[in-house]
Amino acid sequence: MKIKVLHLFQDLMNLYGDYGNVSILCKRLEEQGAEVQLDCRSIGDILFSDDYDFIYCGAGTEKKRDIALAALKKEKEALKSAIESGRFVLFTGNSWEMLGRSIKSVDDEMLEGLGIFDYNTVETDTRITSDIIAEADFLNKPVCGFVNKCGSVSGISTPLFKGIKLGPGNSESDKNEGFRYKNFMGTELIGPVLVKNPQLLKMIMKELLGDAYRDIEHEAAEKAYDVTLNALLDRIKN
Amino acid sequence: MSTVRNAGAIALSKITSKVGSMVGRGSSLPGALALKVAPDILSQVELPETVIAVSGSNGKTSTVEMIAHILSSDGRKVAWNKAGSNQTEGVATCVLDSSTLSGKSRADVLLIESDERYARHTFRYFHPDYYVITNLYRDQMTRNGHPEWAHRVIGESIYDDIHLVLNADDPQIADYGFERDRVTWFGADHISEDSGANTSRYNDGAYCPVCGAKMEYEYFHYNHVGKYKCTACSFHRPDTEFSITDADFDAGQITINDRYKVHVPFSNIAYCYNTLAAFALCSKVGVAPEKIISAMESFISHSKRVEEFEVNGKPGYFLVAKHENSVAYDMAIETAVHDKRTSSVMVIVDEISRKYFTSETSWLWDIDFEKLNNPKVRQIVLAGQYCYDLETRFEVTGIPKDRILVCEDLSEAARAMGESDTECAYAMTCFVDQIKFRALPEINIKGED
Ligand SMILES: [Zn+2]
Repeated sequence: MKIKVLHLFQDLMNLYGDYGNVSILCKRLEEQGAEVQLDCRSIGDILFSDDYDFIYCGAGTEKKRDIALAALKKEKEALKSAIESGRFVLFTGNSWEMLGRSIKSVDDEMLEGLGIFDYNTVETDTRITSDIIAEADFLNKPVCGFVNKCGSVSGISTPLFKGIKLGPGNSESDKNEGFRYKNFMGTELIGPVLVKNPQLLKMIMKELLGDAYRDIEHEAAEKAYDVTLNALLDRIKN
Repeated sequence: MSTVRNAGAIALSKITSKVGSMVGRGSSLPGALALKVAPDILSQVELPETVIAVSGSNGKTSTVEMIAHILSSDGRKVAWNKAGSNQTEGVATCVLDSSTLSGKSRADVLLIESDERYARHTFRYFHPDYYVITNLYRDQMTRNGHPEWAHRVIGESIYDDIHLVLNADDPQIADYGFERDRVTWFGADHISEDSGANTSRYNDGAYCPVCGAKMEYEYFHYNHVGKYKCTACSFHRPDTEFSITDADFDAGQITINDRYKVHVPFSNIAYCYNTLAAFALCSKVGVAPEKIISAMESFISHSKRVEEFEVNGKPGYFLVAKHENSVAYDMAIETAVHDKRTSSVMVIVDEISRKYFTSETSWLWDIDFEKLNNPKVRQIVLAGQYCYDLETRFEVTGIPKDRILVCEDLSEAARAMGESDTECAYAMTCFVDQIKFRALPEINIKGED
């Protein structure tokens, strides 16, 4: 079985070990016996040159996200049709903001988004950094991670994660996190989210591999998850 | 009225300092109290003739200590914030400690180690004459945002009347001096250890900080530090007035401006920038190069190098890295791999930050652990509460599994390192976890009973 993976802007949108999401996915797919085709595409490349099974983009600084957005605009239709046809698309950190209607910068500049989705982002001078625990109704365990953002996103009716126990939501008034549509997943969590949340990685692998999926234990990743979850839960208690 | 208040604020600060030093309390409290009584006290006191500030992600303290030593050796009275209290309150304590009650300065030079995030607040009250900025790395992003954010914040502390002393090789720093007067540049020429490609896990210099286009590198010294130029605008690595023209890490020596040889205690280029920055700054304020070099030599021979220990009779070396700072780890790894003997390398991540609680481990993916995939490194021991995060990270390094040992318990990890048939041991972690390592019964710190 062949799985085609597209890593978008790996040299631009890789704020904090985000590339780890792709590394771990490819490694685990290969363990399952799948043949993995990994294409890294960035500024100056044709981004969507194949029909990909999994598309990933990580977090960037605000400036770098704007550079990525300009490049994505040229191939908006290809991204849109990948999402509509149910491909797995994971955008982490501030990258999912690009798919919304607009992004308003700290300096009050209005940037037009891809407009694939209806949400809007407003950035402020305050940096929000926090550990996070959130519930996901499609997983049997909560999700852990970290946010490092300066924007709040409004206009979301189908969040990815609900029931935040620790950390900020999409905005002051929206205590849910991220956005989901079909198999598009957008979350403000930064870094190697799939490494930190083995259950989320497993869910994606199962969907990608279908009947070819076999259960393989990854004790270290599971233990690492438990350590972090327990440390964060302890902190809420105290 | 305000003179009375200022004198009161200075006196209060001095008394608190005295009491503080007697009971061994922190050094920013006196300044904090003075700022409460007279918020603009820093713009009221008369400052020493020369005011120098040093900022950047890594190596600030070493650079400041070296500059202080050189200037003192040159016969100048230097006031500096020794205890690493580099926020506005700490700076105020230092300034007021060196003033008389009427606000006159008793020092010739005020030397400030300045936190990247607080300089913009401190320099609202006074501007340094010279501002040394060494580097900008991914550092403690759980509270620092990200390097571009830090870049903007440092930018707000730079005023036109300040003479900048900048690292030409770090594009995120060189950006501050782009098309500006009053800049002194320092940097390293092409040396034998350089690489044509960026071999680290990421490149924060891949895109131009001025216009956003792709950058091209002729060579990399490490990470994003090297010789770069923008493919679209005129931004490029500027020519340097102070340069490392040669480096011989086996002899532990660098050459500055083809003439001045000085010893360096570490075996990689990243650490040498502190020495070079100190050389550039001291030259600028009028110390003769020969005097700088001889002061540097005495400073280096007195300062503690790598901490040595013994584990089960095996020689060991402790390398202080910083959690949440991948460049600091990359430098430690570089040092360990440089050893020609077979080694055990222990990485400890037990507590990520003592001051600010977090369980954030993304930074482990920014560290170039792949470099430990070296046949000389026969054993890798991953230890501490977050050892399973480390283990998962090592899954993708390509390092054979039989070389890796995972041990949550630090004592057990240290024993395994002592018992393995390697010639020497390296341990790396941050300051907080270092305390735990030093206290292990298996570890004998050299020079201590
Ligand atoms: Zn440019």
